[in-house]
Amino acid sequence: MKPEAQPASERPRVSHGSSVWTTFKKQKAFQFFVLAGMLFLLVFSYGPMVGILMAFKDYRIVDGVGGIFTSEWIGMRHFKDFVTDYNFETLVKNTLILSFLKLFFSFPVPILFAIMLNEMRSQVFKRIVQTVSYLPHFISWVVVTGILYAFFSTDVGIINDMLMQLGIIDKPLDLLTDPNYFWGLAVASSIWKEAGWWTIIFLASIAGLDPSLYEAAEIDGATRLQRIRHVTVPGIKGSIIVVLILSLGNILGGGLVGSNFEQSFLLGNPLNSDTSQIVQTYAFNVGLAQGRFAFATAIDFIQSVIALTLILSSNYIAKKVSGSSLF
Amino acid sequence: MRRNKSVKGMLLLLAALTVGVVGCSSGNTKGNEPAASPSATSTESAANPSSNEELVELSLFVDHSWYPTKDWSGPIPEEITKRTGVKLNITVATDEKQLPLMIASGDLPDLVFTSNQIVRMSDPKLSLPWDDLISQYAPDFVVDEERIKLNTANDGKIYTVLGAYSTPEEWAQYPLATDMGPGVMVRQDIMDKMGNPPLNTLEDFKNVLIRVKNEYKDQIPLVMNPAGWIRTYFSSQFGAANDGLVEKDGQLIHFLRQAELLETYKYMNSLYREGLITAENFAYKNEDQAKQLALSGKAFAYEWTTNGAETFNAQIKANGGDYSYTQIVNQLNDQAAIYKNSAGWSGTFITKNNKNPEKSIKLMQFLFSEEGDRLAKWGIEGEHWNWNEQGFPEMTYDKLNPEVQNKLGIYWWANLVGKAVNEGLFYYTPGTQTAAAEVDQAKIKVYNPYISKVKPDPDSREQVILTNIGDMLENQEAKVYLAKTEEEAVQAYNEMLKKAEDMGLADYEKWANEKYNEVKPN
Repeated sequence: MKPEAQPASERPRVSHGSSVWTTFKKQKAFQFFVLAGMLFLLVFSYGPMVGILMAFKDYRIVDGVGGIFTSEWIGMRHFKDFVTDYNFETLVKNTLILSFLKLFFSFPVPILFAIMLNEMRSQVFKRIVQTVSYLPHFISWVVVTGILYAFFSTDVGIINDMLMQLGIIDKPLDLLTDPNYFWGLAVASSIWKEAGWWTIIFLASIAGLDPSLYEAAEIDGATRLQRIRHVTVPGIKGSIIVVLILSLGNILGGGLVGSNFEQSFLLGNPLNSDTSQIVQTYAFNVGLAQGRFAFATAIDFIQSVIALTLILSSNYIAKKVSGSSLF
Repeated sequence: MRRNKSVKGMLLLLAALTVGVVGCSSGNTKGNEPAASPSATSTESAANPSSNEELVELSLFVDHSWYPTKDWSGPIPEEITKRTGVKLNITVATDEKQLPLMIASGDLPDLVFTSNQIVRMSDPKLSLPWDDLISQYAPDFVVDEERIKLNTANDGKIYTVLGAYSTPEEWAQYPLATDMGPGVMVRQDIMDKMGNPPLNTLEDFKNVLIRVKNEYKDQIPLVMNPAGWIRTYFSSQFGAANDGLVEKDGQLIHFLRQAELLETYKYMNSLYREGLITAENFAYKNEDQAKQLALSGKAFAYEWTTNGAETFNAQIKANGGDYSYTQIVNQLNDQAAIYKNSAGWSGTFITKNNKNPEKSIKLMQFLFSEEGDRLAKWGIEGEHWNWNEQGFPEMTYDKLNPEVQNKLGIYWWANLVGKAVNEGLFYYTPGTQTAAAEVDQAKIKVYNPYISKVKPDPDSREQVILTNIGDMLENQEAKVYLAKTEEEAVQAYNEMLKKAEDMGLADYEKWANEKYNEVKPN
């Protein structure tokens, strides 16, 4: 946050260096917060980045942390191993498709939901809907997977049982095992779980809009839809773009609703693996679980580069198109 | 002034929070080091006045997240402590990544018990060699020749002696000691209603399942336990090794190449095409998903282990069920064979960080001895078990009840280095279906523990090939099982084999044979 500039007359007439120090001293409480944040970033985000070295080295875990620096350089071997894997294309394809599907379908949901909630007349009902819709956010994916199994299993699922009893289908739907259903299942369940949570941000943004704008629009004879179109949506445009850029940064992790890894790991199985295997689960199974940290690092490094490219380019485009951007 | 005060207050709060966070995190680190505190607590000493000065607490990390007994408590561990002066502080792994992380961070406890990281832990940077410790501290600790050969690491040292192994001589000495293998059970009430059709061949088995499918619509004809047991029973009936390497005509081949395995796949595919197994069975992640089907009466046949029927019958009875399972005790095929290519299961490593190597190796010596192994596995003689002259121990407690095992602290800590025969004798109960199935199965076992010595270095190219093939199989096998025709199944199998070849299967086998020639006895 930029401190407010002082009027020139009140500024002490001293050299530049000590003026910085004086300002600093005045803001010491705030600076302390900044420092804490920076320390956090240094320790937990920038420090561990040294480990990226592993991706280019013949690192063995028995060499410990020091081995990151002392082990032999092997250039791009880990990257080559990954790129030439028989499954490389499937993994990358699945990761990208799942990520873009999630972005495309899950991003608009909380915005629309927030607008709809905002237009609701009964405050009680609004609150109930809001609470109920954000509760799933607190359920872990392990539990959600259990719930999905109880609903959609072909052996014991109640949905299949019900549809069969009603005579709507004569063979159970294998939603959990058919590769054709995996993406739909993943996108739909992540929207169910996370959309209500993100709605809160957009609702807060709508609540911050000046009521006089609505009054003016009403006096001008704007209908409800026109008010939404010309007042609400432009009013929350900034929030939408910031959230969009943030979710683009995490696009390979699943964007706004996240959880690509959890879903692929928990909902994926040998039967739907053609569509459910993604880069992260591969890095986990073939890298981390086997103690091949260097290989897993190389895979994640590739992912980070893609994600960074996406966030920089989307930020640039947002700046050009709408004028608002993250940085 | 007020503002100044509030700023100061905030600073104080922040400082307190920071200290708190730091405090917490250091507390956590300590918590993660499986209880490295070397001090013998005063209460322990008071409880054991005789070993007042000698009581040592050692930390043990168990690299099996499913381990049923999670602490060193109960009369049996207390007795072991009394005899050895060692008390163990146990940490059970949360997942398979924990030990690699501990290795990488150098944060190892005194002892590590693992099966996944045996080759990695057999490293002088991580573990103290047992042979050095034995000559230094326990010269009377004698390990037999066979075990020495099987447990010698690539650098010529012995870093552990794997438990749950027995030499052919030991097996011969205790004929009633059998071990658990793959098995299948069927619902007896339905069999009775169908007039007990014959179950002597794999064809008979399939025909019975077909009858169940047609006559009992609410039953799933066959459910398979997904936790590593899918295929095991059928591959044993076709005489195929179920994993790893197998010796054919003096050469080691990867199990995927066996003609018998293709026969197994074809048979299982035919079960699927006939509608006798469900596709979803291959998607289960948790064995409870399959177990529930058996315990709720929806599964006619269930593929699991030789002691499956008796384990389930006890639970069904406890739940008030009015049906029971019968184990198929005879083999259903002349070719049946079970390849025992193992030199043991898990091993205990005395790490570089160990604060009392002397006590550690002596603890191993005690648990390896007949006396120690039986104490840990069966309990105190006369109190918990009595020797039956027929050649097995009779327990005075409900030995298969996990709660009883936990309360006594019995059985599980014997695995640290104990012998397979004593485990087999623990489970032997005369007249049971389990015993009948295991005795019959003992006839078809083919032992070659030296194959287990052909293990690549965890960071080697061979290991990468092996891991890649394993990952591929996990994802592609379902295509063979669920193929629409037999031709498609064979085609899917050939594709798997081709993928494995592309990954370097032949190179791996070449390396394996070279290694095998080095390690096998002449």
